[in-house]
Amino acid sequence: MARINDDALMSIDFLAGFTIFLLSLIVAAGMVPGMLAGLQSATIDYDGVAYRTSVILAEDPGWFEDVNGGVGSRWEIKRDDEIQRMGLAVSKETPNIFSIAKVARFFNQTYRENPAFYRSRVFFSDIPYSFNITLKGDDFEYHLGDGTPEGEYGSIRRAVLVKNASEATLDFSNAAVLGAYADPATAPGATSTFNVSLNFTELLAPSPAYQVDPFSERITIRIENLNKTFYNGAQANLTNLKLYWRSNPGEPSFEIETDSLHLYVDGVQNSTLLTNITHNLTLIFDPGFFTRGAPDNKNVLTIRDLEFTFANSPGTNTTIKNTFNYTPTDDKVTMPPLKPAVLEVAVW
Amino acid sequence: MVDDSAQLYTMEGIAAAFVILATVYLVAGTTSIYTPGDSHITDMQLEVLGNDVLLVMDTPVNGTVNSTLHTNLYEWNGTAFGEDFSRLLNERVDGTSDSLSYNATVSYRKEADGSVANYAFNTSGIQTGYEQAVRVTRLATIPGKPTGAPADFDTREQVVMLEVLIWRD
Amino acid sequence: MERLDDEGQWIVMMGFIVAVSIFFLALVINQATLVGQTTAEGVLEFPKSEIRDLRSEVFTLIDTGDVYDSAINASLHQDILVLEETRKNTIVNYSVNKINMSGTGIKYNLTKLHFNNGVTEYDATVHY
Repeated sequence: MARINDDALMSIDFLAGFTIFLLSLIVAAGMVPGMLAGLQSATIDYDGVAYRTSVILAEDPGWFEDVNGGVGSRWEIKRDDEIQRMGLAVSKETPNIFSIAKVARFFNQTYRENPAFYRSRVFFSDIPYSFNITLKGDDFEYHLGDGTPEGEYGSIRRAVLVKNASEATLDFSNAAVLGAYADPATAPGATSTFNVSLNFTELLAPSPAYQVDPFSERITIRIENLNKTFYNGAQANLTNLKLYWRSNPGEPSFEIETDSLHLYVDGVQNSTLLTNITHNLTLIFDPGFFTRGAPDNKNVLTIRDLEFTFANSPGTNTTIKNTFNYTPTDDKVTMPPLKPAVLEVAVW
Repeated sequence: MVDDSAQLYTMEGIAAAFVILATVYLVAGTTSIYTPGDSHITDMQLEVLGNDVLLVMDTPVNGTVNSTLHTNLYEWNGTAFGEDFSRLLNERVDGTSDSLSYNATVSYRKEADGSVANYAFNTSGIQTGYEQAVRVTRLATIPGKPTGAPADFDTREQVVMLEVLIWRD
Repeated sequence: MERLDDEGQWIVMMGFIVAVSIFFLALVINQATLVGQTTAEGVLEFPKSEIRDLRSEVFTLIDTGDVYDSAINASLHQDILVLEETRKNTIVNYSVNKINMSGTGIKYNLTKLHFNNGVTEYDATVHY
């Protein structure tokens, strides 16, 4: 028979072939999600990011660049926008030894309000990772970030040492201290001055893990039992506190700004300098205080003197005198030992 | 009505199906099964932590004393070393303890013949051989022969190598 | 069939296109699994802790007086070399020279370190 025109007709064979093809296509398409499932292994990436972050925190001292062109790794005393990278190590030569000033500054940020601050200075990634960084020692614990999730996350643990700040205690109930820095048997003049001298060259001489760093560590000076120095008096009147640059006599003195100084008089926090003291005086200078007035070149090593001026009058006086050298070899200055701690970084 | 004009379609349909299924079979057969151990991430974490702990133990806590590691080696006190090492290794931030075990060996050189000998310093558990372990090492200087050291240990000031194998139980 | 027409060749072409795209996907997946592996292996391969250990040990020896009159204690030197070679399969070497700078009188130790573990080679000159 003559062939029918089959332009618009689908024959059974065509149907059969097309059906077989379509079925196999459906089977193949159904297997593709199973093959792609392996790409969900995000923990491989998270562990790598956690390791890199832990290296930046534990082994790197950090970096800042300020508006005057100064650069360096003492970023803990700089403004937020001047910090380029936050690392907690004391210096490049001392990995795994943390500076407590850097730790306090790093963990003190209000994370919730500004997580981007950390992302650009610690993670260096466009992907917005959530993180939890914890540092735990025997007597301190710091947290930063969200709580760890129930699911998978990448984490790493590092063992570190934490270097705390030094402090000086002058206890006038100790006869040696009283003999060296006061003279309660003699009537004092109109004013008594007491100096605390910081010789930067001497303080920065030991290796970075064991030195007192006046540029970036907190300095604490405690004067206890000041009543032993009174000459027939009941209290002392501190009238002035100045910072001098003794190695350069022409330089003027600098007035102390009380916003970077914490003053405790007789155990109570005081906000003004000019005050009466009956027993104890504790001054805590924030990191970076003693560089005030120095040029930004941190290699300038000087002797800075802190001068206390007391006004004397009958009933309110003190016979304190002389200069106390703030140096770790003096037994009145305690350098706390390095304490072990654990740092854990979790990323998800 | 049944002619073979469209058998081309069928044959081509079957041929296409074969091509697709053969490709899928090949591809599915060659994808690698990826286990967590293959990625060496756990090895890396253990090695980093082990090196950290040895560095912490080998750093003097202030400028005047010797480090803990130096003291433990010079007194040849494997037990004290084991306690310090294990505590630093297993301490976690949430207060719980991890379950890492170790096996420490000291290697020293004998000047007489230049050979290197080992001494099993301390171990926290018996190895069965199934554990995946990493090795971390640290060099340390000893001023002389410690009491309790093996007989062939030289009496001079020398440098020894402490090797620790670490694995997760 | 005198007339070789091409109505059915769409099907084979589609079949080929699907097969090629599945092949491409498989290639992508294969590369993805290597990402995490090479990150950790890169960390394991670079001997950062070993180099730091060597540096800190040499500096400790300098501090405690291993170096005298620009000569190093030969048996301590041999200790480190032999131990690293037999236990860590690493070739190391160090040399120390005491230098006095004539102008300022500053003394320092010019230390040269060499480290080669077959994969990574490290040389450093340090004014300690």
